Amino acid sequence: MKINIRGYITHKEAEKYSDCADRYAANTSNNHFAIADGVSKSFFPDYWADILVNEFVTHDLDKELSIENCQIVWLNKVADKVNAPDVKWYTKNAFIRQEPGLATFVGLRIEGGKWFASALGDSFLFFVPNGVKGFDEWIKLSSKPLPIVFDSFPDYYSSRNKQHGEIKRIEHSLVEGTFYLMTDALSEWVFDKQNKAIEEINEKWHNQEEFERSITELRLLNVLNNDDSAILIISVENDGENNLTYGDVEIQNLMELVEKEKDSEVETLVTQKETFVEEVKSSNLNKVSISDNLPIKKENQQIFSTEIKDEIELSQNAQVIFNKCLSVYGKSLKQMESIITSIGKFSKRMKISVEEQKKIKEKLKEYGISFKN
Amino acid sequence: MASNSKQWSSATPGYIIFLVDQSGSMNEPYPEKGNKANFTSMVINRTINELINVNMAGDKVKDRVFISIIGYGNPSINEIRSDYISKYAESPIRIETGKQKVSDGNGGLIEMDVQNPIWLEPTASQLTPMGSALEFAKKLVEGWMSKKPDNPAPVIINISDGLPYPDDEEQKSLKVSKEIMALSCSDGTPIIFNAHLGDSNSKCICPESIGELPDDQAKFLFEISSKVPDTYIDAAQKQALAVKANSKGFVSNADPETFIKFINFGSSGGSDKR
Repeated sequence: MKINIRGYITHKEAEKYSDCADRYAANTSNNHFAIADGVSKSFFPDYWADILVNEFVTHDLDKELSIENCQIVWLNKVADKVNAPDVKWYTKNAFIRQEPGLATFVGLRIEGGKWFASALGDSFLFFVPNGVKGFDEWIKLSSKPLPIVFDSFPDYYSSRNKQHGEIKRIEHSLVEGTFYLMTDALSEWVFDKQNKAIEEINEKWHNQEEFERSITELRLLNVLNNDDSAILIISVENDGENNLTYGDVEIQNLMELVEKEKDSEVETLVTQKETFVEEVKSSNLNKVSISDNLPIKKENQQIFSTEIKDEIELSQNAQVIFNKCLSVYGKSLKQMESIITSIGKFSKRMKISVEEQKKIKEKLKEYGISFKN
Repeated sequence: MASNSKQWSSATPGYIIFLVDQSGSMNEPYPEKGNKANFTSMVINRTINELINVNMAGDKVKDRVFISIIGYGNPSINEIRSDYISKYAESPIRIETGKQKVSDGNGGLIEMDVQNPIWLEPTASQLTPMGSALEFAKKLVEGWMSKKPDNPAPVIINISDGLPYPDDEEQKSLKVSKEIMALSCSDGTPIIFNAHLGDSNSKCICPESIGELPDDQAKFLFEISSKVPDTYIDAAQKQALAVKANSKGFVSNADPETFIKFINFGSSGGSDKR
């Protein structure tokens, strides 16, 4: 059997790669694969998710995830942070309160003509055998009970305590087909769109750039929740050999994205500052406040209620893209430009002309946002 | 999408306005912290601390909520602070050291030093211009919503020990609160919660009708409170508050523990909504 792997990952809208708490890992020497989603409101969830997936894929002998080992590694790593001289008061307090990191998890291993998977929480494994079209015939694994309802209360592994919920395990003979391991936002979308979602993944997601463009578009269309999103796509082909071999392995390294992000921070816009409070205070004194650091048209800075009149008319799609640009104001100019150009140029559903792209940039200038030529 | 259901996020932050009664009567004794002003400050400081905890993922606080603290009464309307939550985390007025009991890992408890940041100092003097404070809050809400029409609907939490004063402030409060509740954004209408620090023993928590209330002060604050949105039910359950189908976001003469739970509930909608 021959295996090809693709893996892509991105962060929530208006956040950074360094904020992303999803993780995945693959080890082609022992055929172990894993994905985890750190619960964003827990303590150092990114560390916890990272430790879980790496523990799973690196230990040949431990077929079960050794949570105790993971907990020790997490605690040591967090303790280093807490003992640093520049530690924040809230980080120290949370450590004293013994707050845990939490994460959902899916692990897959292939061995001796069979595959074995385990899951906890609302990250999913889907296996779609070749030639199978019906959603009901796919193999699906998570620990969520039926009927599947996505909510804010998934099962999870805890970095300090016993897991929450029952781990689900399955095993099957290995046949031709594709495994899709993904975190909850993508899983919910797949449940909703079924074959259409799988078609989109197979046809469009061939590199990180295409993946990110698709994610931005799906969020714009309100069919994908604004959450960290990660996917491992593992296809299995019968090449007539008994042994497993690997063909294309293209897994986006999150840390590379984080490093690139650091390099591009020179282009980051000024920190977003809300000025409406000053405007309200000034209006109470019949004064007009002028600030040069805000996402509001200069001629409208003295008003804050209803009458923003735009001379530049945009089409419906362009307006949606324009609004999305404003939502990442204060984050990254590059992110904003990517929304305009890549969605405008490549999206089937949100495509806009080059002229419209220029109009969006012109309109953004009125909000103090300028792009380099 | 149901009303008041949009989750806070970095892309679409929520907005909370704390209206704090700082009139002279807040000097009156209260079972916790000596007087009502001290108790109110403690509750607000603790709530902001909690908001930092739920929006923090280790060593970074994410700006999922913008907070205004508005005092009224000393001498009139005082905009104490308006900032994103990460800015509150970075720069409290000062930090006190306190004690907290935590597990020792062997079934026992040990006392540890924790740092308690302060953003609001207690103060109490003069009148109770609640109507004017609501008027200011209305302008803030309008300003926020005009720039962020797709964000979660703002939440106003008013903490007071009684009726507005001078008298015209009462009518103004009634009028302006209705105007606020008639505003709308894509997530629905802004919400007003009221917490009454009264003197009587008649406790009332999230009542459904005005008939359940003991006095005029409570009835007035009930009138200017929003119905608890259905989407806040999970948050109420998390705080062990018995919210019924037609409950309003209002507590009167609650014991300190319930009072704190109510303020946490009112300000946690974005974290714990269904």
